Amino acid sequence: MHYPWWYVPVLTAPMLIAIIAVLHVLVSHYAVGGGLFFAVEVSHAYRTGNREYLAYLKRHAPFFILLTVVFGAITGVGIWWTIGLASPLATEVLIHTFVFGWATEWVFFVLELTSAFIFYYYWDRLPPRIHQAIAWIYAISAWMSLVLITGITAFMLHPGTWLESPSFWRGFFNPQFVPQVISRTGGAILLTALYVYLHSSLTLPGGEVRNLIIQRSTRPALLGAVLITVGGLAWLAFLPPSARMALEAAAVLTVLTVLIFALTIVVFVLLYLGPYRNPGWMTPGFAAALLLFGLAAFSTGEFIREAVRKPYVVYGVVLGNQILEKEVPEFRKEGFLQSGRWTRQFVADRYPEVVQNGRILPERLLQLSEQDRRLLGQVIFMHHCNDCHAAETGYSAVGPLLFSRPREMLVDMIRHLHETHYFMPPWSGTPEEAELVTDYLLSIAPERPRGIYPTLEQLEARR
Amino acid sequence: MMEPVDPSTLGPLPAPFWFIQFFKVLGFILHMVPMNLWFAGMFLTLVLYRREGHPRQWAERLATLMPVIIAFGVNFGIVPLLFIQVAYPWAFYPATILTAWFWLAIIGLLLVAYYGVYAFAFGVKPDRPMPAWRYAAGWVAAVFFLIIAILFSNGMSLMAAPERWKSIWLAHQVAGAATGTGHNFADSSLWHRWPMVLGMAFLTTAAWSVIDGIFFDPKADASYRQWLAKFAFVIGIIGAVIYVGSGTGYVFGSWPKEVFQYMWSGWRLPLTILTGASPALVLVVLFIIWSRGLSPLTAVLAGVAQLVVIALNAVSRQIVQNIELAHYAPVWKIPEKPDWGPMALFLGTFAVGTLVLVWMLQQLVRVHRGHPTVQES
Repeated sequence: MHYPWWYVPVLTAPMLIAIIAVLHVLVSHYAVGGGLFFAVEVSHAYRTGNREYLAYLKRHAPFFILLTVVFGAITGVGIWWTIGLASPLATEVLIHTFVFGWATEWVFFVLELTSAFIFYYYWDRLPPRIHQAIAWIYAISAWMSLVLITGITAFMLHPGTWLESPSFWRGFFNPQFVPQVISRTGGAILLTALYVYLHSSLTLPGGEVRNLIIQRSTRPALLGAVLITVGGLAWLAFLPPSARMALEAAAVLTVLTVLIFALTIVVFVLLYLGPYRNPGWMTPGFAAALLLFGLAAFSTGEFIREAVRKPYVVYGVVLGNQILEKEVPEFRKEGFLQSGRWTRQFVADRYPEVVQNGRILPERLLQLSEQDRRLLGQVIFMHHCNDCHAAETGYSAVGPLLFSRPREMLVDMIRHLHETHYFMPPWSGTPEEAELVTDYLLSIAPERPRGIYPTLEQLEARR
Repeated sequence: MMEPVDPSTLGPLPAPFWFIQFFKVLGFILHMVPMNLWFAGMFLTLVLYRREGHPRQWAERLATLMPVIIAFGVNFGIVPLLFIQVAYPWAFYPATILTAWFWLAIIGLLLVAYYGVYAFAFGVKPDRPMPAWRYAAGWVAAVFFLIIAILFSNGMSLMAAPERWKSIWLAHQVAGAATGTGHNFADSSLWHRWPMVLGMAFLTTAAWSVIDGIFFDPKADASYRQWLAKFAFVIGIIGAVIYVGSGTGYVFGSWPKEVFQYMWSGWRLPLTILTGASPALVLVVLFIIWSRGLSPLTAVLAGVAQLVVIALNAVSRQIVQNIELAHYAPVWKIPEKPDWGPMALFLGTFAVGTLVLVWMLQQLVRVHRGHPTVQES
């Protein structure tokens, strides 16, 4: 809570990260897999002297550039933008730990861009050997970008021994690193094949070349499906215990995880029986359906990856509500409003009567008017809860979640937040502040809707 | 005013402060060159594209290069953005969060502008009219680039003005949480710095024009180069006037007293004067080019002179930023704990990457010197 909190109505600020990140991932994996696709296929086309195939690849290149260099690159910067806005403390921790990982990735990004432009703009002007070498430089650079970024994002889920002895290398080579590199590499290859199916089915009327492209793209796609499965199983095996429990405890996550594995296997079979054995089946409609299917599966995978990390942004280090785990005892002792730079300032500005010698006195908070208590409760809600919960309506809104709970139960639940739900962050305030939050939550809880089991009082009244 | 930050409570920097500053400034200089070209260049391209002869030739040339220029401009912008978050997170995050929607709008505008540039560039065909929608897309891109620059200055000027945070925050909050609708448009420094960059952008475009005309543009003949010499001088004058005018307003009208005193004393005094006067150097070279004709030597001199302008500006700005933030958190007092291993990884990759880059560029040079193409081989 060293930074101001950005209030985004309905959605919550971190959801903006999710939206931009998912959009980026769907294109950035194509940027990586597409690099390998071009390197392998251009080499094949040159080697076999297949000018028709080469001509198709040349037509595919601008589609690839327009999607990856523009949309992929700008949404990549967009992720930087939104993580700084919606998760500043976690971003600060990551950047302090991995600044040179990111700087190294930037070098590969420069190589990626340069080689992509040379590959495209100097097509037919470079000798084939050089053209292929440029394609391979792109492919290797793009894959290295994936490796470097995966080291950092995997760290967020499982920092491993870094927690005992923080260092770049321990953090980077974390238990989730290899599984995620394998599954993301597989995902990149598979997703690329789906993009190629769609592009080729739309731009080629049919015939030998189209069948050749589809058939050749299916081989790596099958490999990609295997890598996703292997990487996914390793991901499961190396999850931190709390994440595995979250996966088992939350029905939606269990269903989605099983679904992803099952669908990957189904896709493998479909790819083998369809495009590999019978490439002629690939119509634009079939290709579009496959791509949409792939994009949905990818997005779901990203959702699961994010969801199992709760209550952390960086496991064991930064909690979702922008508090360092090690700060929690101090927050509970000193008070949530007192410990946050911006909350402290807000209270001092609006309620100087509760501040003495620069300290907020918890007992005085409860002496405020009901309206003021609610406002301060809302202040705590914004900074303690709004990272995952909208208020009355919206993403995981607390109003509908908490309605009709008696006050005592609500206060008790807040004070034992992580004990009630282990995927919630621990309560990081004083008992008095728990009362304030309760005041606020009760004020936004909706009416009891029909069809919900009546309260005991209502049942008694009916007798 | 928010209460100051005690630097000893901040997490240690993973590299020496000078190292972070060096790469932040270097990255900013690298970013400025392509950014300047799209900032002023896109606007000039659209105006000149509708004319005949050499102006059209110049516009076509820059338009076709613009997608690549933007790609590298965005890429090079990552470096200062990364290092700013290493050394100044306590200033960068609050400023951008308070202005979050304006800050985030940069991404949306950039995405649309970038596709607009492609739409325009792909429509450039010699002796063939461009469809109206493509030309309009170009204008959308040019206008968006101007807006992006304002929004960027909005965030960056607020970052260096912690004394403004509290009033902006309290005016744009719900229960203490920032709504992200705050802005720093009332800060006069923003309205001085934004045109300063625009002035530099005209100067960079002038320098690029002469370099491209003598070294790279295969269609450049003597008549075109003669026109180019005059054109570069004219836009150079426009740029220098804007730069010096807004720079004077920035220094004398918006610098806080302590910044003014610091920058006008000691070893900073010559730096401040040089930063303000450096465009004269570019103008002198452009004048020589205009009066005596374009040559490889004078073109290189124009480029070097403009790099000096940009570099002096970046260095001065860095010093001013540190002083502006000193009363909130003296950056030089933040503890350091260099992480030498990963730093070596970065520097090693940087060196190898540079070699690979040079090799790739060498291949292009060979192509332009008539190496056999795929059809011939």
